[in-house]
Amino acid sequence: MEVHFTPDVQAKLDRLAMDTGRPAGELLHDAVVGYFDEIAELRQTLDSRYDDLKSGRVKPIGGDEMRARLRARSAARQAEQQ
Amino acid sequence: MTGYDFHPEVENDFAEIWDFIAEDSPTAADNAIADILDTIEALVPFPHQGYRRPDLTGRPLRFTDKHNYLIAYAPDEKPLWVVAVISRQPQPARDGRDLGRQGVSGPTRPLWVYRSTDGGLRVSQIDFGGDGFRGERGERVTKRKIVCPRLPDLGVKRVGGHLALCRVVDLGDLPVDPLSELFFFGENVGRRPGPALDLPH
Repeated sequence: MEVHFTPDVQAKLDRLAMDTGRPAGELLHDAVVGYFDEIAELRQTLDSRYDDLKSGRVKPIGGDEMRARLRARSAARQAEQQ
Repeated sequence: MTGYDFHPEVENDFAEIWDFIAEDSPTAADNAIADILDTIEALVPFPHQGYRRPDLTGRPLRFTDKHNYLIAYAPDEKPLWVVAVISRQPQPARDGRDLGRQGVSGPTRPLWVYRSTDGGLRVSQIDFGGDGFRGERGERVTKRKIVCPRLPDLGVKRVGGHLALCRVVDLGDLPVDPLSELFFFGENVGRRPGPALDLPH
């Protein structure tokens, strides 16, 4: 299989291969494997979260409550940093 | 009533986003969260304005973007359900390197390697006192970890420079003994040095 890249992507790949001393093909293999893993992982996360709500296993948080929680968290974090 | 609800895990999604941006500016982090919430609010009158991503889900979800974040929601529910707010692009590290996705911070934050009870090695970004790790000594490791399935291939010394090859997974409440199994490496974190990591071959 032959894969073509735009010049900027090719340049990045060449640079990474040079920096790491690893063959470009090996880097590409890792990248593709990682991509598939990420897609599968994300798909599982999204589907399971939807199923959680649909089945009633998990109680949703209302929009107002989420805003309040996030405001409180932000204030607490910033207070910690001072 | 806002017209939208959240899966409880979305609170953690927001926390990751806020923490990542707040390293530079808490105000910018607040603004980014507010922008995302405004984007969600704008979905309510026309919930089907988002696009489909059948490669990402087998459920009736739609997606919309704000900044670098992907908002996944269920348009047919009333109130509308927001199921995830996630990074859609690799997060740039402070030194400009790409470090993967989903709130993975740069190597200037503490990085730990530990051996889990299944014998596997894990690389973890530890947020002491935060949501990801309980206390300085940590009774247990929870939630998001950076996992390098090819860690032996990458080599420990190169992990900090090769986090793009790592991936973030939700390990749930993986039982580990961090006091005996955690090993420190990384740069510029100033926490506490640990013993050298003895990698399996």
